[in-house]
Amino acid sequence: MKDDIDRELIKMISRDVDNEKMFEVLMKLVTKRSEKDD
Amino acid sequence: MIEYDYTLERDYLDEKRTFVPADIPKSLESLVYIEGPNSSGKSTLLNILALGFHGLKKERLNPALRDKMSDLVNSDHQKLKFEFRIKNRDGDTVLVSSKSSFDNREIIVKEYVKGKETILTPDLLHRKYNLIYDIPDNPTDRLNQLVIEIRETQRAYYNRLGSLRNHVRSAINEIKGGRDPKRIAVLGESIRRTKAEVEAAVADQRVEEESLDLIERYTFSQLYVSTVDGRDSASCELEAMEKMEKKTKNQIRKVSNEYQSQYRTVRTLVDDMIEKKKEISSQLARTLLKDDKHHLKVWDRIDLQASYDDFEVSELLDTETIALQRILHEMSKESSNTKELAEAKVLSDLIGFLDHYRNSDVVLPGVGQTVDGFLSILEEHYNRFKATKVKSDNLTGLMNELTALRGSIRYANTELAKLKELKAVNTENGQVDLADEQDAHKKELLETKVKSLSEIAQSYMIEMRKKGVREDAIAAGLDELAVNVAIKPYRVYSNQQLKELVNSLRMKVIAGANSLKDKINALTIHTSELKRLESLEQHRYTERLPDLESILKRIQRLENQMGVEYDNNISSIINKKAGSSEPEKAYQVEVAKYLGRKVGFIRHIHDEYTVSKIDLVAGNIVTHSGKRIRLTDMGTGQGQSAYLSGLLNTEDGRPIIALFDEIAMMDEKSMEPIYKKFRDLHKKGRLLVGIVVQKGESVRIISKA
Repeated sequence: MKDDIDRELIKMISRDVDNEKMFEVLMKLVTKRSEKDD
Repeated sequence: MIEYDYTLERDYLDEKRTFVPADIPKSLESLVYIEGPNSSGKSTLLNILALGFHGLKKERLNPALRDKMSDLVNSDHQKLKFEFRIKNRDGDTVLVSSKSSFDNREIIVKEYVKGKETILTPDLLHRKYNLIYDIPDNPTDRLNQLVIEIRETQRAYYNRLGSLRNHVRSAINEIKGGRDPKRIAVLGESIRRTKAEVEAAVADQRVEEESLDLIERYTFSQLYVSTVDGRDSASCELEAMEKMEKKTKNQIRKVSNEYQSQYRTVRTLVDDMIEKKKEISSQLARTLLKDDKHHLKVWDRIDLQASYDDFEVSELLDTETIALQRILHEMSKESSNTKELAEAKVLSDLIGFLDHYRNSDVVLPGVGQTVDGFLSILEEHYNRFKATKVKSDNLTGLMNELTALRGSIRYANTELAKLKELKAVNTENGQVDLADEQDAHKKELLETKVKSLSEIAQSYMIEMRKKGVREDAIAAGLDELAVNVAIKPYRVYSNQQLKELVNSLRMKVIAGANSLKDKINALTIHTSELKRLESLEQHRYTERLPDLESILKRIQRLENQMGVEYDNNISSIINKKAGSSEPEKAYQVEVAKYLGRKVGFIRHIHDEYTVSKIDLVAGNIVTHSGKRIRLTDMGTGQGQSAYLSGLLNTEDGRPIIALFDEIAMMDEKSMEPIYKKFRDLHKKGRLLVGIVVQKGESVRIISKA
C-alpha cells in the first residue's frame, strides 16, 4: 500500500484499535494532509 | 513461572483411575523443554494449559489438538478439574485459570496486573494474548498453513473495515440529522417567506370573502324579489281564472268543435306571448338606461289578455317592440365597437379551449407556465372584461327575443282573426264561447307554480336572514345594493348569471381558504422542524462532513481491496497458481517476503541461513545470501523448525503463550533457533510461556531460560 493513510489504517486494524480511536486518528491524518496540500 | 495442579478421573468400565501430576513437577520454569515416556502426563499438561487459556474458543488450531482438548471436558468417560497460575518475567502480571469442579464446565481466567483483577472472557483473552499450540508435523503443509492464516487475517481485516465503515457512516448520519446551521438558515428564510405569503393570503381572502358577501346579498335579494314578483303575478292570474270560472259556471257549454279547437290554438299562442313579454320586461328593467326607462312602463301596461276580446294583439306591442329594438341596437353598436369586447371574446374562447387541458403538466412554450397557471392569468384578465361581454351577450339575446316576439304577434293576429270569424258563426247559432278543460289544466299549473315559487322565495329569504336581513327589508336593501359601485358591473346579469357568479366566487373563496390552510400547515410544520433543529446538538465534525465522506470512500475502497482483490490473490497462492496481472505478481512477491520474515532463519544440511523470501507457488526458499533452496529438498526437522519460527514471528505485539508438542523429527540443532527465539521474545516481555514437549525414554525437565 503506497498511501500512508491506508497503511496507518491497516496498522491500527492489525492492533485491534477500537473504531472511535481509529476514527479520530483518520480525521487527524486527513487534516494533516489537507494542510500539507494547502 | 508456571504452577499447576489437576485431577483427571477416567472410567475404564472395569475400574476408575485418577490421574494427578506425578512425574512432572507442579512448578516449572516459563521456558522449558520436557521429555518423557508415554503416559508421563506431558501432553495432558499441554492440553490442560491450552484448555485453560480458552483454546477451544480459538479459531485457528490444529484439529488433532482440538479433539484432545475437547475430549478432556466433553466426554463421558473422564472428568477434569484444574488450576494453574503463570507469572510473567517481571512478576507484575499473573494469569490464573481454573476449572473448579468436575461437574462445572465453566473455565474462569483471571488476569492480575499489579494486583488489579480482570476476568478474561475467551474473546478478551485472545485479543490480549496469542495462544500458539501446535504439532509441527508435515512442515511443507504447515507453511501453507501460514498462508491460510494470511487469508483469514485479510478476512478479519475486511470485517473490521466493515465495522469501521458503519461507525463513520453513523457519524455522517448523525451530522446530517443533527444541528445544521446551513439548514437552519434555509428553513428560517423559508418560514419568513411563507409568513409573508400567509399574511398576504389572509388579506386577499378577506377581500374575496367581503366581495362574495356583497354579491351574495345582491344576488339573493334580486332572486327573492323577482321570485316574489313571479309568484304574485301567477297568483293574480289564478285569481282572474277563478273569477271567470264563477262567472260562466251556469252558462251552457255548447260550442262548435271547430271554434273550440281554434280557441285552444289562440290560447296557447297568447299565453306564450304573455310569458315571453314578462321575461323581456324583466330583462329590459336591467338593461335600459335611465332615459329609456319610460318604455318599460308602456311595455308593462300593454294587456295581452285583451287580445281575446279585441281579436287582435294590441298594436302598441308591435310599436314598442320596434322602438325597443332600435334602442337596443344603438346600445349594442356602442359596446360592440370597443376593444375590450374583442379582447374579452379572445380571452373567453381561449379559456374555453384550454380548460380541456387544465390538468395537463405541459409547460406552454414561450410562456413558461403550465396550462393551469396560464389559465389563472387568462381568467384574471378576463374577469375585468367579463361584465362588458355579459352585457353585450344579453343585448344580443334580448334583441333576438324581441324579433321572435314580433313574429309571434303576426302569427297570433292571423289566428285571432280566424277565431273572430268562427265566433260570428257561433253567435248566429246562439252559442257562447266558454273556458274548457284546458283552463282546468292551466289552473293546476298556476297553483303548482305559486307553491313552488313561494318555496324558492322562502329559501332566498333564509339566505338573507343568515346575513342578518329581515324579509321586509330585502326590497329596500336591493335598491341600496344596486347603486353600490362594486355591484354596478353585475346589474346587467340575469338571475341565472348571478347564480353562476355566486357559485364561481364561492369556489374561489373555498380554494383560497384551502390554499391558505395549506400555507399555514406548512408554516406550522416548518416552525416545528426549525425548533427541533435548533434544539439539536451540533456534531463536533459538522464542518468537516466532506473529510468524513472522503474517509468513508477510502474505507470502502480498502474493504473492496481486502475482501475481493487480496482474497482472490491469496487463493491463487494457496492453489499454487502464478500471478497473472502485475498487481497480483507484486502481491505474491510481498507474501513471499512476509513468509521469509516470519520464518527468519533456517538450517539446511549443516549451515544456517537468513531467509529473504519463501515462494510457495514456485516451491522454494531464497536466502539473504542469494541461495535458492527447493522446499522439497528441506529435511523434515528443518521444515518443522522453519514453521515454528514462522509461528513465533508475530507483528501484533500480543504476549505469546507457545506450546509445542511432539517435535520428534527435530534435532537439537534444528531446535536451537526456536529456543533462541523463545529467549529473545521472553526478554522483550513478548513471550509469557514457552514449552516444548518431546518423547523420551525417561522424564527430563530442562530450562531454556
